[in-house]
Amino acid sequence: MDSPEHVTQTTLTPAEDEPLSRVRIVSERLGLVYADEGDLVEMSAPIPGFPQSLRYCLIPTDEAGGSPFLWLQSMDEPALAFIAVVPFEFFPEYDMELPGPDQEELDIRSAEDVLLLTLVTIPPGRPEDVTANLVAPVVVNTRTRRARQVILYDSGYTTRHYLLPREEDVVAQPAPDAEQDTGEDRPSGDP
Amino acid sequence: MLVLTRRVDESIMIGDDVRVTVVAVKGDHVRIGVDAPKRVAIHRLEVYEEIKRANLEAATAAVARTDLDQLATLLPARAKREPGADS
Repeated sequence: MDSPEHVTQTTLTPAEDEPLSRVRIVSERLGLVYADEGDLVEMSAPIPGFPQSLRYCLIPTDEAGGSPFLWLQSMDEPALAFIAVVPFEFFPEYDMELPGPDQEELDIRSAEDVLLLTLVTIPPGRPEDVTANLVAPVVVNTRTRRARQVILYDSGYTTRHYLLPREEDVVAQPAPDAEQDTGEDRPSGDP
Repeated sequence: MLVLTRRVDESIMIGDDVRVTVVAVKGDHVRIGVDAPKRVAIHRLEVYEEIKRANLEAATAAVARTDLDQLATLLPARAKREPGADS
């Protein structure tokens, strides 16, 4: 991996606080970080919009563990990072069924295999308007560390659900336009 | 763009492992079947574009340094947990 100049000094002689089993990650946002191999994920298909990145790492945004948000940092593009969260933290009613082809592709055998994440958008300067993309969660197989962004057709969810209570409360309800999809032309799986 | 004429039940191959079949035609609705390896993601274009747009926005917004800290102050108090562990 290419390293920006300001971190190259650490490459020749590992620092004492750098356990060999940890993976070095260069992030434009976070600088140089170390991760356990168990925090790495490999996309089986690129996240739409980012064809160059398949390897990512999950990094807590808050080392103390007080924040539910995680960085989904690309290991292929130091400039690329998402903020992710387990949707049930904010949407306890979130109801998704992993489409069969995605389940097979990720080799999901039981619910224990799954780490479900949604990508979060924090509008610049308006963190109170933070939204989660509930229609396209990132599904991680924790056993194999493989993942993909899954699109939930006909779920009624959208790319924008407010995480925090709004004055006019429109939080986390499946959008009413769900009926526009008839469900009879799913990309796969139907006869 | 390559344009081919196909009848119902006829197919085209894209590469060695993607087969696209015209399943039915009714008025201006065409039902299309796709056989492809599971690693190939298949989506309706407008849905794919919407997800892509949302992802680009999410990635751009993730750069703003102060907003995440500010967001932390807006969150309801919660029990400490192990992020990224087996939830």
